[in-house]
Amino acid sequence: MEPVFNDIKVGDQVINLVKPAITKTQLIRYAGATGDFNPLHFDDEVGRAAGFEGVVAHGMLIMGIACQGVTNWVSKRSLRKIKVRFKGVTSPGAILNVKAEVAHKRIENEKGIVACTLEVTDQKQDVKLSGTFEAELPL
Amino acid sequence: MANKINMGKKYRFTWLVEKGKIRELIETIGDDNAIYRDEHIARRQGYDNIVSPPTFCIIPLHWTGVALQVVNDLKLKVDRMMHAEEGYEYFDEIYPGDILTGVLEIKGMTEKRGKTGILNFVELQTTFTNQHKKVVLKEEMLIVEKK
Repeated sequence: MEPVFNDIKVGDQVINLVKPAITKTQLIRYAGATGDFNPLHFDDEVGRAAGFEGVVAHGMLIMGIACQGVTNWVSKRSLRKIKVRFKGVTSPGAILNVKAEVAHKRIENEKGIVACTLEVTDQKQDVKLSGTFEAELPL
Repeated sequence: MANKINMGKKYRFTWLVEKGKIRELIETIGDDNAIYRDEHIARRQGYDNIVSPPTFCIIPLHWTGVALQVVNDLKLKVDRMMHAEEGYEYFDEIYPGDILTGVLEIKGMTEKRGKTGILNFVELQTTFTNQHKKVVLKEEMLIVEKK
């Protein structure tokens, strides 16, 4: 169900999604699905050579997870834009939490625009992704 | 090392959107939203078919070989680059059976001195159009390479 524009308030925490731990297998499946075969994501030695504990997740997987949170809240057709910055790397075992807060709302061309901050953290509260998205809701 | 000759260079590619690829992507993300899986539910919610999820268009960038071509043309070192930022602007849904045309443009390359040395910032912009000549998606990607 689409949220109602008039019910949304600046400061509302609108997304709080906790994911099962990231797995190595998941990174391999993500590589296969997307065609991103950078060995950083499936070869521990390459991960270590790059200065990490081993393999690290594709940033776009983390963004995909963040977007899951977004389209659980607003409909896909309402999502207008999203922009994210990838912060720390994510390793297998990470339990990710997607959060979003309403930053701003306005009416434009007879549509209700809601702008939110978006953040993905792990179980240690390390920030993996931070950004914003905008949704256009019916009035 | 990236050079100024590549500024404004464009890469054109096409991609047929397939249900199977949507399924692979959402299964690995672990997104159980029915609009990405179930045609009946998607139609009841007003879509024409199952829809592709928000990060779907990373798929043609890699699978057409364009991403690697850009990396090679700009002489970027894969083991020294990180995907720093990503942005999308959505104009219409992307459905199975759609034929997307992507045009990737190298918008900018700048070198900046950071704490750990020289960083190379590479800005890429891609516009996706469907078979009806409608712009469905605009993408901005920032890659940072440690020189």
